[in-house]
Amino acid sequence: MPFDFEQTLAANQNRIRAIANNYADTGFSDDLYQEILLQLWRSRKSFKASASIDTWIYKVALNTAFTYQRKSIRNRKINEQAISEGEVKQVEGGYSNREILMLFMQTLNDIDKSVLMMYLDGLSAADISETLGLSANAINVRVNRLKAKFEEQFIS
Amino acid sequence: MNFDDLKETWRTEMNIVNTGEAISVDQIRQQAETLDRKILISIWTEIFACGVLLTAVVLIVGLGPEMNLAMQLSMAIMAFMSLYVPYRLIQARRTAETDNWTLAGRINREIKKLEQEGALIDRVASWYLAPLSVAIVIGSWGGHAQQHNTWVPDTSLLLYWAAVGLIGLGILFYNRQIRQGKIQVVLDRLRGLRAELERDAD
Repeated sequence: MPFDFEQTLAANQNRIRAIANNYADTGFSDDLYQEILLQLWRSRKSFKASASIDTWIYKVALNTAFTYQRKSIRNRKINEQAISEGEVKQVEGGYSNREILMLFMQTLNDIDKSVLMMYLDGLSAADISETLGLSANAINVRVNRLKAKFEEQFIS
Repeated sequence: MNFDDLKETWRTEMNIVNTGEAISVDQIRQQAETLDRKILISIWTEIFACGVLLTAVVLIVGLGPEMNLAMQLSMAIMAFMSLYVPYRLIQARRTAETDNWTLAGRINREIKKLEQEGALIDRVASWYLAPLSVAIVIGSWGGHAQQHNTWVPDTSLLLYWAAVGLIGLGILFYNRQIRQGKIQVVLDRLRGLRAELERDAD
């Protein structure tokens, strides 16, 4: 089946937007979203028909997000300090599922955050490992660690 | 709620963030073309600037007044620099293209590119400032000798050399600031990401 770029973008619009929102600093998510679309267009020839579209989207989007952060590294450092794990424990009661997810994500480093997003999106350990360039075993270790961390912060 | 309940929350989140606007592939194509054009213009501007310098050197040597050995040497250094500087810049920017789109692969590529840029800035005194300053000093000294029939520099020539030295130091300082303030910060962050990726690698 031929690769239809426009259709692929339309089908993955929500996913791309969510990645941009989670990696861009406040007020820059539209810029990052546009940048990801641009990089998808520029790298469309590298997409192999035999590969998974989900994996390709995540590869390009995450690569773009990580290099895009170069432009606002100082702002980001301040944001990273804004929410610590201790604060999450103190304010956990009464939060909606969405807020809990967002709070949890903000306690994670960039790599763990990307693993979590792909895991929640239903990608297999093999797909995540192909995206990040790590072994599937390393991905499973990380997912288990994320589960333990989540349970420690929000369940126990 | 347990960990896997977050899957449903994430699906909902992806639908919430969708603003519903249609993606225009034509617009993306135009943006890509504009970006490519800017890169091309930037490369050609550098080539043009070097061409202008080379042409000026050739014209001065060919049509200008007779030159003594010092002035000829200065012109030769300038001509060489007009070719060597763009060569070094192009070499520093060049990184092996690869089909490896994994995050680890891209981070390594970006680190290599920044290390090359950083190394170029670290050695800017040896490959750019020193030869250029030597060319300027020799050329102005030769010009002074030809004009005044003496190799003994006067006060104005000494002041001129001092100004050249100060400008050189200014360029050196500015480049070090860029190295520390921009390149090093990004490099540290990317190395941190790589270390984080390698933490559980088999």
